[in-house]
Amino acid sequence: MRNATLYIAEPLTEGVTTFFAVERVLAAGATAAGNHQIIELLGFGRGLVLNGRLHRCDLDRVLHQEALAHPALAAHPHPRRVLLLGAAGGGVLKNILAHRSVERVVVVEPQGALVEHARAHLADWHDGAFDDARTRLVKSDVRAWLADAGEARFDVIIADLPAPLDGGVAAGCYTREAFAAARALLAPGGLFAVAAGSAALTRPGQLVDCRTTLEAVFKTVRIATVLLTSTLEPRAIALASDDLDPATVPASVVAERLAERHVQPIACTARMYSGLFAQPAWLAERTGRILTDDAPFQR
Amino acid sequence: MAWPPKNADTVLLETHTDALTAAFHAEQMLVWGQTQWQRYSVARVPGFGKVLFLDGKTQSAELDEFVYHEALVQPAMMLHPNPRRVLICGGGEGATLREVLRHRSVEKAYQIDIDGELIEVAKEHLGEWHQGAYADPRAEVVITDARGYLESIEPGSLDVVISDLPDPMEDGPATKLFTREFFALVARALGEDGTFGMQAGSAALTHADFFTRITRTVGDVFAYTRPCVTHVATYMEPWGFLVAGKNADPLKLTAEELGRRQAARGLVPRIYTPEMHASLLTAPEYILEAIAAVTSVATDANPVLWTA
Repeated sequence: MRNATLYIAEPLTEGVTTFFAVERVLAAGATAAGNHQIIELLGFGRGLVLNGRLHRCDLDRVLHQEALAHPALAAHPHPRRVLLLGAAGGGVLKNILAHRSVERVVVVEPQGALVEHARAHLADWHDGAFDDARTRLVKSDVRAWLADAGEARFDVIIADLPAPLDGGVAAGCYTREAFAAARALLAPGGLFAVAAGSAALTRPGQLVDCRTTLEAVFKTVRIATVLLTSTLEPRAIALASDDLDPATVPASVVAERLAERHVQPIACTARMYSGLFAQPAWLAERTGRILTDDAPFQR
Repeated sequence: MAWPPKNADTVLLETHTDALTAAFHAEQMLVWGQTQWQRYSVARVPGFGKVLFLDGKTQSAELDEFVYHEALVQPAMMLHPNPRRVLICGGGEGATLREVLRHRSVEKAYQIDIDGELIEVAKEHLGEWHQGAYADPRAEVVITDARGYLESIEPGSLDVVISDLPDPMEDGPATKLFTREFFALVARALGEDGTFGMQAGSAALTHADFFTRITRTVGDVFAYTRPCVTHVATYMEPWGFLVAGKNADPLKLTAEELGRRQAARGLVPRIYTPEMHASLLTAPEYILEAIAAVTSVATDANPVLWTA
C-alpha cells in the first residue's frame, strides 16, 4: 500500500476486503435517499461512490455505461421514449441520447445534489447530456415516481441504481413489485434493463436473485456480462421483456441499427454481441429467490 | 464496515497496483515454506476454500481453479482433432495435468516443471486440484527447465503444448519461456495439427501490456493465435489466455463442432461450453486495440517482464 490517507474499504466478499487509495474528495452529499461522493482515486481517475461503494470510475466507466445503454436500445427496433432510473454521472444518459431515434429521456434521481455535483465534476462523463433538450430531470424517490407515472409509457427503461447490498431504499428497487411497476410503464414491444450486480463466482447471489425475480415478472430475461477492471468483478446487466428477445437479434442487425442511429460505441461494439448473452453453466444452473418488498435482497 | 475481519486471525495482503490492495481473510494457514525457486503458502479463506499463494501472489483457489484451468487447457485441447501426446510447462498444482488427462484420447502427458519441491507440496496438500492426476499411468513428470527440454525433443512429436508458467520476473527462471525463440521451439515440437494454449497474464485495463505483447509474439510464430479472456475471481480481474493453432483457427471452430468433439471425448465442460465458446474468444475492444498497437515482439535479447 502506498501512503494515501484515505481509502475506500470495500468488503467485496466474506473472504476479501479491498482498499482503493483515495487522493481527494471532490464533492459529497448525504440525503435520506442515500449518499454519494465524487472522489479522485489513485491510478483509476475520478470515481463516483454511491452508498459507500465505488459505482463507476474514469478507468473503465465507458465499458459499463455503454453496456447499460446500447444492448437495451439496440434490442428495440425504434426506441423513442426512454426512462432512466438513477442519474449516476450522466454517462448512461449520454449514451442513450447518442441514439438519434430517441426523442425523450426521463431521468429519475432521488439524490438531488448528485446531478449538480456530476455537472460540476464529471463534465466529460455526461458531456452536457443533462442539458440536452430531450432530457427531463426529475428529483424523486424511484418507487414513488413509478407508482405515480400515470399515462407515461416507455420503449426502454434502464435502471442504473446503487446496489441493494445494504438494504434500505436501494434494496426496494430490486423487488418483484418494483420490476412489475417498471413493466407497467413499458409500451408494447418495450424492454427493461437493470444493472444486476456481480457475475463473479465469489458473489453471484444478487444477480441470481435478481434474475429469478425478473423471470417471475417478464417472459424473457437475458443476462449480458461486461468485463471490468475497477469493480474487481464482471458486472451483469439483465434485459427483460415480454415481447423482445435481445439474444435473437443478430449482430448484423445490431450493427445496422447502431449505424442508422449514428451510434459509434467505443467498447460495446456489434462485434461484442458474439456471446454477449452466454452464461457459464455454474451461473445458468443456479436459482435464486424471488425478491419482494417484504423480503428484499440480503447479503 | 467489517474491518478488521471477524472471520480471520490473519490477513494476506496483495497489492495489484498502487491504486488497490486486497486483503484475503485467512481463517487458517495450512502450510507454508520456501523451495529453491519460490515462497509458498496455502491458506483457508472464507468463500474461496483453500488458496495457494506463490511469492505472496494468489495463484489459485479451490472455488474457481476450474475456471482458470479449463480456460487454459480446453480451448487448445478441443482445437486439436485427436490429441494423444501432450506436454505441459509448469502447472505445479496438478490441475492442468488433470484437465489434459480428462481426454480419453491422451496416451501420454509430460509435465515439465523446474520446481519439484512444489509438486511434492501439491501432491500432499492440493488434492482438490490434481485429483490423483499425478498417479495416472499416462502422466510423466520431468523436473527440468522447459526450454532445454523442448530443445532436446524430436520435432513434430507432440500434439498439444500447454504453458502454465508464472509471469516472468526480472532474473527469474521463466524469463526465457516467454520469448519468440521459446514459442518457436514449441511450434517445432508440435506436429502439423499442433495446438498451443497458455496463460498470458492480466487482461485488466490498467496492466494488459504483458498480455498484448505476448499475444503478438505468439502470433509471430503460429498461423492462428487468438486471445481468450475471462474473469478469474481469485485474481479479481479479467485474465488473458491464448489459444494457437498451426493449421486450425480457433475462431473457425463452430459451437456445434465443439459440442460434437466434447461428446465424443466424454468431456463435460464447466466453462468452455459450446454456449460460452464465442464469449470467451471475443476479446474486449481495448485488448484488440492494444494488440494492434504493440511495436515489438518479445525476444531473448528483448524479453517482456511482468511489472505490475
